Amino acid sequence: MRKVARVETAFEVFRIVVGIILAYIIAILITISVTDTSLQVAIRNFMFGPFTSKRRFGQLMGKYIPYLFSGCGMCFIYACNRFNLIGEGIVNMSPIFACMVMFGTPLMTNLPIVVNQIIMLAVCGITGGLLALVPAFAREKLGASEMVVSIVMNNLLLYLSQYFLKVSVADRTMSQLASPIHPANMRFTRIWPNTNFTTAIFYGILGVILASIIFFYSREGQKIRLVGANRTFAECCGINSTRSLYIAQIIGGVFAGWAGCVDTFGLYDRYLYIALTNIGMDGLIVAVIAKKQPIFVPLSAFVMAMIRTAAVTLNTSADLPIEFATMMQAILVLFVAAENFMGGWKNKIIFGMTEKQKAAEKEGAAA
Amino acid sequence: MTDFLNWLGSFIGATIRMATPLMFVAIGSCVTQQGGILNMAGEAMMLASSLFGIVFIGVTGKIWVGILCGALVSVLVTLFICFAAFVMKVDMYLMSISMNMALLGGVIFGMWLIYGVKSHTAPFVIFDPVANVRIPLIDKIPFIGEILSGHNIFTWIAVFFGLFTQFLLFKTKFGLRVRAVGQNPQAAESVGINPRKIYTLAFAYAGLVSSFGGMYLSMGYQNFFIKNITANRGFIGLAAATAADAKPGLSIIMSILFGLAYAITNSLKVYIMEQQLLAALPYLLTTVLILVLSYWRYTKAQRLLRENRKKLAEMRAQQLAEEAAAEKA
Repeated sequence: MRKVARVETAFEVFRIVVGIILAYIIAILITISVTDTSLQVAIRNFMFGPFTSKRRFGQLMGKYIPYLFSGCGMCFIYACNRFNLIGEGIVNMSPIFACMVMFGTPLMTNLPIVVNQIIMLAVCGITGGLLALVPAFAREKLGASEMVVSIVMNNLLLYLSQYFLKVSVADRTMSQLASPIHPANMRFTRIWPNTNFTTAIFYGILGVILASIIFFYSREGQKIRLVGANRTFAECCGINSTRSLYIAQIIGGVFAGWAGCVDTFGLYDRYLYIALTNIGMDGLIVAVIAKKQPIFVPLSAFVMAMIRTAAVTLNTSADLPIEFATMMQAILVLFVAAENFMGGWKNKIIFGMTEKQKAAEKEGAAA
Repeated sequence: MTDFLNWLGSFIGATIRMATPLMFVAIGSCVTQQGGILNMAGEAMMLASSLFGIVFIGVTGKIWVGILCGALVSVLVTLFICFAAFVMKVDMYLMSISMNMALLGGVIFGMWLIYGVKSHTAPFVIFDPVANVRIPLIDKIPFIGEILSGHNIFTWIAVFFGLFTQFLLFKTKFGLRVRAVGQNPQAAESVGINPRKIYTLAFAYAGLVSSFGGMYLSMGYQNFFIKNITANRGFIGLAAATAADAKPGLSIIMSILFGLAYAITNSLKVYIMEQQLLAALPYLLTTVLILVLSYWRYTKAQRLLRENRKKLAEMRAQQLAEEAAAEKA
């Protein structure tokens, strides 16, 4: 049995790698067929584009850090088979409350930067957790589709966040709707000057460690996974499945809040969002590529950040629309999440192994 | 009084206009929901048809060809999702979400490939939008005329689809099979129904109906395709179907109720100056509506459960009393 499990794990990893490679090949083929880019340039831009300069790598990191959080959060939500996509709206909404604390109260004015960063993360996390409760309540208590509620709410949160900003701490000297400049002690400082590589990466690493511990080693994490795998069985074991589903979605919301926090206070000098960021939605794809396991999120988030950065690079170098990246994501999902992709081959190997084992057992019995 | 009636008539007319795309998605979603799966890909279906309908009008110059091809593209997108879900075994909802995301960008990519622009198709495909129908005689009646007459052909197609789908689901063999699969796929399989085939057919039908919602936006409501044309109407339509308990006729009424949120926002433009608040309003009203309707259904279900339990307890008590009486005798 252990051998079969090993083959299955190997195939899981192999399938993800093949899926990524196939998605890249399709993307490169489309790039060279619709633009004047040569194959070499397309490969260079796609595969190595983000590593060609410090600035581009910083850009990659700017995408990578929020994905670490949103991916981990979605692992919890997706692990219990819920499609609560409120993360998208939380990314826009949660920093507004942090801005209100920053600019509306004197609390953070003279505090050291690390304490301020923790306060910002706490405010964004709490906001995220509370907001995620709405679709969770709609689903678990009222039986409405959490996905529909969350997607409609994402737009609601986008416009409400702008309205809240306008009536609270907006910078009236700016022509567009924006918050005042984040003070030096109330942001994530840049590790490399003039790039998006910020100290938020350390919080990102801590976030992944925290998510992994909760997911694999805590009682709640075990419950969430069990409820996701088989809710009836979990209930038969005496687990309050509704409670676990709530907790999973709250954790998802908290992580989405953190994603919004590191994005707003790391990448930008002010709160500038005027549209949805896609960080929450991409978090779902990150979780899918990571097979719902936070421990693999650093790798899958890197793949996603690579795709997004490569799309930006191609947009500037080959004039290929940035929307191209969303199509590539769908191809990735198709190959990575498909259980039957190379399933026949896997079954053949497992059958072969079992037959061999049987034959060996027969021989042993005959001897 | 006449002024008020005129205003009310035009307000209801506007509500129906806003509700038309929702009706199509809601009707399509009813079929899949009766089959046991929510139609999460309404956005993808609408987006694909709204762009490609326009593209084929541009190529052939004929609106009916555009409508046919738009519907076909939408069905193809649906079949691709079914292939991914039933053959490749990707989670249906996950594939639908990623298709929505892919097509949100994909249609812009397609528009760029075909026309070299990323904003809208207005200067490239010029045609008269699908006409509004003025009903003679009724048109002249002051209040009723405003409500019933002057709607787009697409609105009447939605009504037709609503009635036809109601018939299809509740009066035909196919409908019975869809509902059987929705109730219990294993039981349906045991009597020789192939659930995968039924799911695929139900989804293809949903794709066909939903495509008209997308095409109404790009061919009836206006005559060009623009970025993010659907603005989450695919999900709101699905919410209407869920609120209507997957009944096509009722889902049309629910769509009108959800369309009301947009119409209210439009008429409040004069009174509310806060642009952001106004933009948030339809989504706020929709969220509240979904929650209220879900709460209503939840309390109804709870009440029914309580009543049934009570009845069961009474029956049991009666049975016990009868048994005791029989023993005594």
